[in-house]
Amino acid sequence: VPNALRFSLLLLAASSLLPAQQSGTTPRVVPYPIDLPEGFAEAIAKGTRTMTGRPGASYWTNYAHYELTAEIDPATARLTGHAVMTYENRSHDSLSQLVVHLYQDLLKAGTQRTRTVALTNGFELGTVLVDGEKVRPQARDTRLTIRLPEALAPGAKTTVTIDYAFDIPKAGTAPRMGHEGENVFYLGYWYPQFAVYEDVAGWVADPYRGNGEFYMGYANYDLAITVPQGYLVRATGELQNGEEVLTEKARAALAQAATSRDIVHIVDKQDLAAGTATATSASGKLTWRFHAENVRDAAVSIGKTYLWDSTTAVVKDKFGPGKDGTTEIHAVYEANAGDWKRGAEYARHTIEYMSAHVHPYPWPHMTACEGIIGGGMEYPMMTIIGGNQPAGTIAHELIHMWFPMLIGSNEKRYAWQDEGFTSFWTTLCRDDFTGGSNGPRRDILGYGNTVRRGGDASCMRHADTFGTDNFTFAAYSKPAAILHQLRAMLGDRRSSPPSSVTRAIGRSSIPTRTTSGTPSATSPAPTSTRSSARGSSRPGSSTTRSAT
Amino acid sequence: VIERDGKTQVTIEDRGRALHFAEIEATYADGSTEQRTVSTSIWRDHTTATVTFGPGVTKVTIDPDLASLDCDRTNNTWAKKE
Repeated sequence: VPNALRFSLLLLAASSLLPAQQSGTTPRVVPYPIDLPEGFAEAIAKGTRTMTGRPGASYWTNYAHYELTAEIDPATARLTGHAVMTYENRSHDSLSQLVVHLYQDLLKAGTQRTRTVALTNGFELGTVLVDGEKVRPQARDTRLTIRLPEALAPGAKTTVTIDYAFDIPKAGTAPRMGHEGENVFYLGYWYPQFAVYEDVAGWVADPYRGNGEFYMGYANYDLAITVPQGYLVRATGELQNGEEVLTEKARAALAQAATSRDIVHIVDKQDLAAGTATATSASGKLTWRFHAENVRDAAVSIGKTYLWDSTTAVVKDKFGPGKDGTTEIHAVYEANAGDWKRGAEYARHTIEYMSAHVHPYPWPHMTACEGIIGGGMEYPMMTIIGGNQPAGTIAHELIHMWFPMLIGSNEKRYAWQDEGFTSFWTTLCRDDFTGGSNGPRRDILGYGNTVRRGGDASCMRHADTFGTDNFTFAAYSKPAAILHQLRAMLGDRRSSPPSSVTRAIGRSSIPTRTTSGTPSATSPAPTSTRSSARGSSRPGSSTTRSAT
Repeated sequence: VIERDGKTQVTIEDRGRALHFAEIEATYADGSTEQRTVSTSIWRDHTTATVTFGPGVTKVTIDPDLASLDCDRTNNTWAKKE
C-alpha cells in the first residue's frame, strides 16, 4: 500500500535479534524533494510570494465591487438580475481581457459535468456593457471572456454591466442551491462573478463541472433582493433597511438577541400563521438590501415558511488580544425540521470555538439555513444545510468560514485544503460541544480501515478528476487524519483540548486581510511554531513510569 | 520481544513508506506502564528499531494513543505467554 504507515512488532528469536545500531540498514524510500512550480518560483523572484508561505513584500490580490439587483418570482421560480461589477486591477500587469464565471451554465445542455442535473437554459444573458459600451458576450463552457477595448492598466478600474435571468433549479436537481416549491429558495452561484487573476498562474478560470468547488477573489457587495412580502430574506452582509422589511416586533426581538446569549425567536409559528413574518408594502413586494465587505462570494436565502432564531456569539480577540467582540447568530428553518430548534445554539458554539482556537470570526453575522440539499454547503456568512439532525453539519459548514472563506484557497485544485482542515477542526469542535474526546481516534482508525480495504486515493488532485474514486476520503477524511497525526507529532495529546501547537495548524494558514483585501503578516510565524514545538516535551517521550 | 541480561528488548519493524515516530508502551506485571519513543529520523535509514525496557514486561503495544496512521493494527501488541 503506497505511503501507508505500517509498524509491526517483530517476534524474533534471541539468536536473530540485531542490536539497534546495526538493524535494518536497507536504504529507505524517503520523501522526495518538492519541485517549486515555475510560476511560484517566478513569484518569489518578483517578491509577491516567499518560501515561508507568507505573502511577499510586493504581494497583491485584485478586488471587485458587485452591485447586484435581483427580483425573484416564487410562482415561476425565475430570477431576473442586473449586475454592475467593478473590477480593480491591483496587479502589476496590464490586463487585455476579463474572465467571468457563469456558474448557472453548469445546467445548460452540452456542458461537461461531474454531477447529474436537470437541464435549464443556464444564464440567459441580455445586454453586456463594458464601461457603458456594448460588447457581444461569447459565453463558452460556463465562462464569459470579455476582450477589453483598451488594456486595463495597473491601478485602473473597469465596470461590467450584465442583464440576465435564469430559472432557479428545483431542490435536488442542481448542486448547492435550488428551491422547494414556492416556500424556500436558496441562491448560490446566482450572479456572474469575475474569475481570479493571480500572481502565480495569471487567470485561473477552471470551468464549473459540478464536483469541484470554487476559487474566488475578494470583493465588496451591495445586494438588493426583491421578493413578495411575507418572504424572509437572509444574505451575505449586513441588512441595510430593516425598518422597511421587518416588523416592529422582529426588530425589537433582534435588538434583544444582539445583546444576549439566549436564543430569541425573531419569527415564530404565530407570526407565520398570522402572515406577519415581514413588513408589508403597497406594491406587495419588498426589497431587502445587504452590504458586505471583504468576502469572496454572496448567497441569499428566501423563505415563506421559515422560523427565525437569533442569538449572539462572543468573538474572542475580535478587536485585538484581550479585546473580545460579538457577532450575530441566526438560524432559519421550517417548523417540522427536527433538531433545527437547536440550530442557533450549534452555530453559536462553532463560531465561539473557532474564534477562540483559530482566528476571530471577522464578519457581522453567521446564518444557518435549513433545507434544499442533502448535507451542507458553505458561503460567506451563510450556509444551506439539509436534514433534521444538523449539529455535525452546522459545525462543518461554519468551520468553512475559516477554510476557505478566510484563507481564500482554490477549492477546485486543492480540495484537500479547505475540506481537510475543516474536517479536522469539525472533529475537535464536536468533541468540545459534546464533552467527548473520541473523535480523533475515530478519524485515525477510519483512515487505517479505508486504506486496508484498498480505498486509498491521492489528496492532491483536481476535484473534477475523481471518477468513481473515493473523493470524500481523499479530500476530507485522509487530510483530516493526517492533521491529527501532525498534531501528535507536534506534541499534543489526541484526546486533550487543543494546545497552542494545535491552534497553529489552523492559525498559521490564515492571512489577516485588511479591508483593502491585501493580506498582511499574521501570527504566529511558521518558524517560531516549529521551534516551539521542538522545544516542548512530548508526552510519552520521557521514561517516567505511570501506574495505570 | 526478548528478555536478556535483566532487560527487555523490543524490536519493531516499519513495513510502510511514510515516516512517523512510534510510541511503544510496555506494561509490567504490577500494571504500571512505561513509554519509549522511536523518533521519526530513525526510519530514514532503518526498517527496524529496538528499544529497551526493564525486566518483567508482560505486554507491549505500539502506538497506544492512536497517534499514527497505521493501516494494520493487528500486529501492534505482544503479550507474554503464561
